[in-house]
Amino acid sequence: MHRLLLILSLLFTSCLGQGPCICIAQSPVPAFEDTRPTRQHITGLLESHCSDCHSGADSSGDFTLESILGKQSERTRQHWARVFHVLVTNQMPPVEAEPLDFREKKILLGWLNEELEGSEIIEEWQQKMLHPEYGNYVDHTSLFDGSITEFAWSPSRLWKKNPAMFDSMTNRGMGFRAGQNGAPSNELAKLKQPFTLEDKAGVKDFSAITMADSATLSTLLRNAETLVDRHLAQAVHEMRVEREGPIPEDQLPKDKKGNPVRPRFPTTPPEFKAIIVSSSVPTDHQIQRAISRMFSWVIEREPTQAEFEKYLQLCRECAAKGGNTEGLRTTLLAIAVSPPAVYRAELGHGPIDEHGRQILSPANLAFAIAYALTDQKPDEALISSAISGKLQTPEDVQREVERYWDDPNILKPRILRFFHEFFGYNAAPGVFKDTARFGKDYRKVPERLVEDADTLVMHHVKQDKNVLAELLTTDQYFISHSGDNDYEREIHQALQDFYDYYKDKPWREFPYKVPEEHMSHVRTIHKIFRHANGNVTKRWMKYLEQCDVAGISHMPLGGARSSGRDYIHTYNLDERSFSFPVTQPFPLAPEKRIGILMHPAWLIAHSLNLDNDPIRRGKWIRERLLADTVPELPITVDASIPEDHHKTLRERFAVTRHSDCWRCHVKMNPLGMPFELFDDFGRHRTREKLLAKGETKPVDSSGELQGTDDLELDGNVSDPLELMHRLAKSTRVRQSFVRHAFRYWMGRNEMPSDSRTLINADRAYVQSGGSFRAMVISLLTSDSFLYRKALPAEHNSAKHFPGSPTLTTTLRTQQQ
Amino acid sequence: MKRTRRQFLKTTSLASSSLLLQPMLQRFKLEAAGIERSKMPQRFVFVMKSSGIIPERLEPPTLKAAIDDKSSMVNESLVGHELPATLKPLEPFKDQVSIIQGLSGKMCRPGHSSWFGAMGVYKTGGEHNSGVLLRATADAELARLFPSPFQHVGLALRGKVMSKEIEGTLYPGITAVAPGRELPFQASPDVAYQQLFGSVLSADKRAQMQYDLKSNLLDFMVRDIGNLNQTLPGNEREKMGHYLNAFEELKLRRQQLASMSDQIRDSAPEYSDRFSAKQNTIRQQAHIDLTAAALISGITNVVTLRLDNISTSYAQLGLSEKTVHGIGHKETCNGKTPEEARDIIRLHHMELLADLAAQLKSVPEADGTLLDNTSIIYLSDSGNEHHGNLNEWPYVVIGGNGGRLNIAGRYIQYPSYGNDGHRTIGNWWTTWLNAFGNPIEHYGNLDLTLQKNGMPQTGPLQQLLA
Repeated sequence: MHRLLLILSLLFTSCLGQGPCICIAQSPVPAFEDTRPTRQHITGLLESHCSDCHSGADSSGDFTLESILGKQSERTRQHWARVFHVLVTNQMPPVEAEPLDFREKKILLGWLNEELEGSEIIEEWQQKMLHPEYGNYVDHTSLFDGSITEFAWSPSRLWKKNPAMFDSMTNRGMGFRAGQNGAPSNELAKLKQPFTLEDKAGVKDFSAITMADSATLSTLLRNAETLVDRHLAQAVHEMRVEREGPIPEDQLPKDKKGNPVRPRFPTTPPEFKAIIVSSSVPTDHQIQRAISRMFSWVIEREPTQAEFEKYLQLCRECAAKGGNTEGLRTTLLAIAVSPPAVYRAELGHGPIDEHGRQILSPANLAFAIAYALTDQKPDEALISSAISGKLQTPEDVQREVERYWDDPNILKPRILRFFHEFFGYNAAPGVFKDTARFGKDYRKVPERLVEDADTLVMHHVKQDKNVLAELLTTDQYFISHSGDNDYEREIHQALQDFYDYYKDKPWREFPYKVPEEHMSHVRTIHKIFRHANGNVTKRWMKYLEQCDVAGISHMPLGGARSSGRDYIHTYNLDERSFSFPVTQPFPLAPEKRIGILMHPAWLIAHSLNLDNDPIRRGKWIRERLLADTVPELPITVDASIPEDHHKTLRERFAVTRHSDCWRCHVKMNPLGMPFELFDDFGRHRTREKLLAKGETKPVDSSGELQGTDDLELDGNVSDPLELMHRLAKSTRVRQSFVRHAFRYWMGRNEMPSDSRTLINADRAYVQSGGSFRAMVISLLTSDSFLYRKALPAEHNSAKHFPGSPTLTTTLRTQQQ
Repeated sequence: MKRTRRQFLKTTSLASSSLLLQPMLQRFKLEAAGIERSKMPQRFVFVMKSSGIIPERLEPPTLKAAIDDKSSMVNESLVGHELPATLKPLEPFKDQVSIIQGLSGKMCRPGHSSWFGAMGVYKTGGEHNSGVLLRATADAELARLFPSPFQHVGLALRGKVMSKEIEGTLYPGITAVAPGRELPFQASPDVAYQQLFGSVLSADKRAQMQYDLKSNLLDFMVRDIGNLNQTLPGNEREKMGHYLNAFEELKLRRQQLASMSDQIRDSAPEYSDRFSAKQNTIRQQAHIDLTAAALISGITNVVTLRLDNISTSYAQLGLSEKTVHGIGHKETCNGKTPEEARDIIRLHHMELLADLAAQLKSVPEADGTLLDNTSIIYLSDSGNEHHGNLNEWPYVVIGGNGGRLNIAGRYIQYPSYGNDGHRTIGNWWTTWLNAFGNPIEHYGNLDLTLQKNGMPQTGPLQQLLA
């Protein structure tokens, strides 16, 4: 119920006095500012827009306006609910009919919302609006036309930690030696992910829909036991040996040769050991040190005084019952499963301003900034800023965000992850393919393509010029390249030296262990040759020789890129003829393929097991680029395309032209069909292979763009290249990009009151010449990011929540 | 049916190597007290071996002529037919033994392991990586239908298919309780003993103390989160309430277990050295005993048991020279051909399963025994071979299956891959789910080649449904 109250207030805040309205609240509407519309107003509006089709005996769609008029009953209420549904999901009026204008729709939905208050459909809709896939139902025009003047805020909230934060913690070691290459510390390999997110396309991590439950707890508890027992093991073992003497050999585990193996444990931290080995009751100071140590690992801050006291008491209670070791163990487990170990708090702090908002505390701000760009706690400089009172204003936040953004030593995985969630190309490895159709070894192909796409994205983030338009239309790609041209030149030259050295030597006869006389030389060429055994040398030399004979530049070898070059067939390239450009990006095939949507990674990610998926591709453009909506698939529809071995996929999709289907498919098919220029492995084609063996037909890659709100851009397109060029020019597309970035960084859907935030971010992007950095910094210094509003206000007691402790105790996190 | 104590002892000593007298007595006490046992839940034990099950070795010799015709279906009673040699330990339960062959699983990953695909029907993982947890696997789906204090127990001799881990909590990559959530398996029998029966019995004093102190922990957390919730804005109280509920659920489970303490005490095997032994075969027996006791006591209805992996050595069976991996790669072992070595291992597995079946059969339930309401499903995570090509995926099932399937006491073989009437493991697991209350239309991914060729492959195996 509380959540519903929140949702209501989110959606209807400024309209509560005049009758609530959905999604388009907060915009001034002159006609009904002071009076509630009457039923006559409403029926008048419906009659003027709906009676042509929904009146009288020949009414279409199994619905007549007469059914909602007259005496109200449960039955008429059901009909009203249906009207609400088709209006709120933009299914009515249909595309070909005269649309409701913004004001009319607001009036209708506001009235219906009040009439149907408490009904299942309203509650269901409110729940849906918490999910990212419903964000586009917030009216786009009113968000960007400047008509909304409310000051922005986010709800006071708890936000469950996300999987990347957990991975980062286990990588950094939680008191053990850090893991390598992003992997968990060896000592923590058994810990399991407690903060899973639903694996679906789009922005995933929304604060309102992620919550810890019994599944989270069972994993957390198991993790906590593993972590704590591992840390305590050495001291517990020593105590046992001291008490009982050395473990008899016959009780020790044996190695392969049957020899007893002495147990080895990581060193128990001194804070814990002091308590375990103590023969007397531990002091408050000892317990506090242990509590503080555990906090630094699992909550990543210092405990508050209140927290010290409660865990001290727990430790004392349990130690009295079970001894020092078990008392300590139970206390450490409690900290590891406590709410601050699961949720980050963003509750607001200090006085409430004239708009009913509180700014985030400097402590919460420091964490919010760090988590916006990284997966870990704030760095020392950010903590210092917060402690010294230099993190209180939007300017302070801007300074810190810019510092974070511009510091190359701070890893910012959240940036690339946004592009993953926005474009979705990283889903390619999850699409199972019938590999025989590829004709080459398909293993690791999608993974390699995703790496290429990542390099392309990060290149444009780094260039920071017209980022979205470039990503949609660039004809320059990266293939098997790190994005660092200096490094690639170094590797390329090293391989050339390697080849030059060996080409006249008997490398074909090398045993597994290459003679030292050669290894001692090739090791000096580059470190990538350190482990170039006989097999590797022969494999590499064979390829380098092939390149030499063909007169082409070789592709990189070794490391992660050693797993085959077959994947370049997805770009219509062949390793026997592809001359690798050391300097990239490079123009691949400008007349055939441009932008990220024609990258094989994106095409595969948005394909089916056996074929293209024009519907999903069209839906993607409709929703992500045009900020538009597509109704959910009605459960009564058997959404299958008939098999016909003599028709192209486009021809088989003709069934969707049926009027019942086309109402929705018109929003998707014309946008998705142009990508028929590629097969479902992302390979460019001019003819489509049909299911009938040996048969082909010419590809038709035409389509139609509608929905940019720009008459110069809307219209027929001959191919996906034209489609992309038009989309890249669209204001609406750019604004849609801003909206999705907003969702990602705020962890929620936009509300009407976020209008200023969105307009400012869009303006920052435009005025900076398409700088992604400028756009994100604008979002992270906006009122939506900085301010919180608790609902209902009288329950806001953030000062008591452990996530919002006083500054000095909160932020001085122990360095590990 | 009333039986004397002397009869129990006779049954047990004949069929079971581990005496579990107490649970049986408890069951009889309940029966004598007239307690309703007619609406008992179904129990499942999924026994997952490694290195495949060679279909030919499950064929009753006297059915050979029918079996060799791979184009048509075989559905024969086992009455009057000899069980294959390595299945002989199951002879006392022959009327409740089912051998199912001919189902393919080519939508799964071929190789050393199909990982979650074996019971989740999809392709995932690599040589060492267990892959994506796409959906709850069929064993977890069935566990969901029959709730119990320990919803789904995972026991394992080893972890991932090539892993050498043998202790503690392991993640073998075969069971997902939900998308993205793997079932943890306990490899150490002593720890499993503590976890399952620790509410009443303990391996040692420290374990007992830790169990007791967990009550303090849970009480503390419930109190702490309750206090915290009072300070939160209204909209976020519900969210924290979910977390509070999670602690309260744990407390509730402990209360449930406390209320079952007599039952658990009577069912749990007596703690002994075998629960901390290092030899594989003793550990396997310990896990079988834990499985039986967990089912008999009622603390769970579903156990998935990872019986071995390819790094396992069966030295105690005289196969000390090679691991299961070596044998799978057709290497001779202690003078035995790989086929002979496989037979020795399979015979040992069947002895373990016969022991489990005997323990369950010795417990009366309603008009029959607990085994009547149990399904022990023996399978491999690599299907039909060491590197399964998954053209076939053999299963041996022991138990009465609650009378919901027409398979007990039968040899059933579906037409081979590509023939009309051929079916897949997707149909197989759909059948199980449908039979026990999940009406899912089809469970798992489809075989794209069969799909391309227009061969029907959705829905349950109608012939098997009772």
